[in-house]
Amino acid sequence: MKNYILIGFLLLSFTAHSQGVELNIPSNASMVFEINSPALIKAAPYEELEKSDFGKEMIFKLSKLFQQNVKSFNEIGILTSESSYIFLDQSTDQPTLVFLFPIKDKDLVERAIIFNRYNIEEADGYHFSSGPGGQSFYWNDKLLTIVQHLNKNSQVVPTQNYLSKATKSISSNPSYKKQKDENATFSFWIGDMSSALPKLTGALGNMSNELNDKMMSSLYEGYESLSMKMYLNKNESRLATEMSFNESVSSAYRNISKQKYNAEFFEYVDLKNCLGYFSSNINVKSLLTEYPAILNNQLEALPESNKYKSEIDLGMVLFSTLLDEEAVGDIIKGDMLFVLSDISEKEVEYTDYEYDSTYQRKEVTKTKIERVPDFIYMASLKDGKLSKATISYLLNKQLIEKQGSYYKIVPNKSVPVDLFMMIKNDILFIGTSVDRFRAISAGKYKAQVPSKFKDHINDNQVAFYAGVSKAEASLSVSDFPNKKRFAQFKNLFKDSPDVFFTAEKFKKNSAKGSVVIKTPKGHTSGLTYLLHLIEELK
Amino acid sequence: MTSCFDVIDEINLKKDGSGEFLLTVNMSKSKTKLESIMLLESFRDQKIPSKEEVEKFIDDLALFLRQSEGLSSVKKTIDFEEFIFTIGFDFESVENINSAIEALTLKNAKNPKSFDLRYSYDKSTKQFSRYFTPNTVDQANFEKLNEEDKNMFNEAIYISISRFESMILECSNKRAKVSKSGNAVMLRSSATNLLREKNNITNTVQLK
Repeated sequence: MKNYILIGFLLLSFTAHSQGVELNIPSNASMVFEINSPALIKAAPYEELEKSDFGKEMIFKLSKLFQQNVKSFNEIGILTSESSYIFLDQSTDQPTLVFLFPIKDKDLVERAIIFNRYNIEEADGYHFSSGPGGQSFYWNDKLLTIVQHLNKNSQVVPTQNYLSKATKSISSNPSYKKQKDENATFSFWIGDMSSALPKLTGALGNMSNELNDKMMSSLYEGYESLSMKMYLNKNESRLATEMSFNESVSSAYRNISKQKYNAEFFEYVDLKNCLGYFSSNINVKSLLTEYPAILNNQLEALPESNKYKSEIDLGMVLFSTLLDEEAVGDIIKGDMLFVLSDISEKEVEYTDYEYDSTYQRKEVTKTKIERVPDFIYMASLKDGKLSKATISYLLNKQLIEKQGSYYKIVPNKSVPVDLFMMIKNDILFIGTSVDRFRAISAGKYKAQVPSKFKDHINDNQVAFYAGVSKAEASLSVSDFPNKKRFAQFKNLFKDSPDVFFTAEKFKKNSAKGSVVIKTPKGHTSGLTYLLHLIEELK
Repeated sequence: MTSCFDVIDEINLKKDGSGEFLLTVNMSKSKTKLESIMLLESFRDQKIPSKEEVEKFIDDLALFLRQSEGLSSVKKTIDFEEFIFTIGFDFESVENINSAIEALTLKNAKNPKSFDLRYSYDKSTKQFSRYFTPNTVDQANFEKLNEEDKNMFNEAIYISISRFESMILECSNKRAKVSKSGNAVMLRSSATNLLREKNNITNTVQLK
C-alpha cells in the first residue's frame, strides 16, 4: 500500500484544468481526502521542499523508483497544479478505496509498474495492471487510478476504473459542496459517519460482520458529516474540524454549550505573561439532563443481542433517578480556567546519610533546587451548604489548614509545591502562589488580560493556549534528560509560535474546532515550519 | 530529569561469624519525580509498579527470609513519603546469607538474580571476603537501554559497608576505604561502573 501511495503522490502533474478529476468521484462516495497541490506548492516552493529532509528522501525514493538519477521535482513534473484524491466508494457490497492521481507522464507510471514486476495490459484507451495485494492500477495519458477492495479476503476483482467522469459526481453532493474550500491544502470529508465509519473500521480490521456493523453504528448514532481541513499558510498552520449531528443530538449539545462564561475569572489572572492556559465551559445542569438522553439514543440502536444491554439500561435509569441535576447544576456551573503562570525554582528537602568514624550511618536532611510549576485554577462553585461542609470535613481531617481567608492544602512530603485553596465570590481557587492568594483575598490583584485571550476563552467552549516561546525561555537544562535534548528544544522553539486550540460553542447542528500554530519568523510558511519541526524532532 | 538513588548494603560481623545484615534503597533525592512517575502505568516503555506491588514484593522477600535457615529478626521498612526501603536480618553465619541468595535465585528462575553476591568468613584465619559480579542478563539489559536511561544509573550509587569487632590489617581492593576507627571498610561505585565492571567491589579483608 505504502509503495503505490508514494508512486501516486509523486506523480501529480502540471496538467492544469479546473475541477479536474474531482468529477470522476461518484456523488455517493462516503469519504473523500484531497491533496490540493496548488496550495501545497504555494506553501512551499520546490526548492525549499527539495532542501528539506522530507524532500531529499522523496528524491532518493523517486530515483530508485524510476531507475534514473532524479535531481529535482520539477524535472519529473511532480507536485502540481491539480488536486489528487483518495475516496471510499460504498455503493457496492465491497467497500472500495480509490486513489486518483493526475499525471504528467505516463511513461513514468509504466516504468514504475514494470520496476515492481507487474504485467501491463492494454484496454480501450487505457492500460491496467494488477498488484499482488488485490489492487488494480489503471492509467491513461492524464490520470492514474488505484482501486482496492477494503476487505482483503475479497476475491472480487474491481470492475470500475474511475478514469472517466462519473454520471453524477461528488461536486453535486450538497454536504460535500458546502464544506469544500479551495484554500485548504489537505481536506478530509465523511458524508455520514454513522454509516461510513463502522464499515471502514470493520473492513480495515477485517472484522466486518452484520452484528459488529450494528454495534459500531449505534456508537455513531446521530453523527452526520465530518470535515477536516489543513491550511498551511504564510502566517500560520491551521487544522479546522467540523462535525454535524442530527437534530436530537444537536439540540442536546446546544443546551450543554449554552452558558455564559464567568467573566470574574479574568480579574484574577495575568494572561499577558502566562506560559499557557486551558479553559472550558460546559453547562453541567444540561449535561446531566441531556447526556442520559444521548446515551439512550445510542443504546436504543444497540442490537438486542448485546449481552450487557439490560444492565446498561438499568444503570441509565438509576443514574437519572438518583441524581438531582438541578441541585448539582446549582452548585457546579461547569466553567473553569487553568493558567500556568510560570515555572519557578523551589528548595526541596530529601533524606541522605553521613558516616562517622566507624562508618555508622546518620540520617541527615539535605536540600536541592527543583523546578516547579506556578499555576492557578478557578471554577464557578456556589458557596453554600455543601462547600462549607466539605471545607469543615477537610479541616477536621487535617487535610487543609486555615491561613487567614484562604487554606493551605497539607502536602504529601513528596509534593514539592505549596498548594492553597479558597472560595470567594462563588469561585473555587486552587493555586501555588501565596502572594497571589493574599492579593486576591484582599482585592488587590492586578490582572492583565489582552483582549485576544479574553475573546478566545469567552467565546468558545474549550480554549487552550501555549506560549511556546515564553515557555522556552523559562525552562532550564535541569528540566531535560540531558544537555543535548535541552539544546535541541531551545533551538526548536526559539522565536517559536503560539499554539491555540479551540472548540467553538455548538451552533445549529455542528461542532467546530481548530488548532492553530503561528509560523515563526524566518520560515516561509506553515508547511516549511512543520517540515523543520519534524526534522528537528528526529 | 536525571534521577538518582543509593543502594547501601551493610554487614556487621562478630568474631564468632554471626552478625547483622541491612540492605537500604534510598530514592529520597528523586522522590518528587517518583511521585509523578508512579501515577503512570508505564514510563519510557517500562512498567511502573504500583505502591501495592512494591509492598508485596518486599513483604514476600521478608517472608522468604524469615523461613530461611540461620536467619532471624527479619525487619523491613517501607516509606513512600521519602521513598526509602530497607530489609535486614540477623545471621548465624555468612553461609546462611549465601544459601538464602541461592534459594532466591532458584525461586525466581524466570527472573535471575540481579548479581552474584557471596560472602565467606574463616574464623581461624580471620579472613572475611565479599565477592560480587554483576550477572550477564543484567549487563545485557542495561546495554539495551537508551542513553538517557543509562545516564540515570550514572547517578545511582552503590555503597557497601562492612564493620568488624577487630581491627583491619589489610584489604585486597585498593579502592576500599578503611574508617578512622580502623574496624570498618567502605566501597562505593556508580551503578553504571559496577554493571560495566569498571569498578570492582569484591574485597578480602584480613582482620587482626
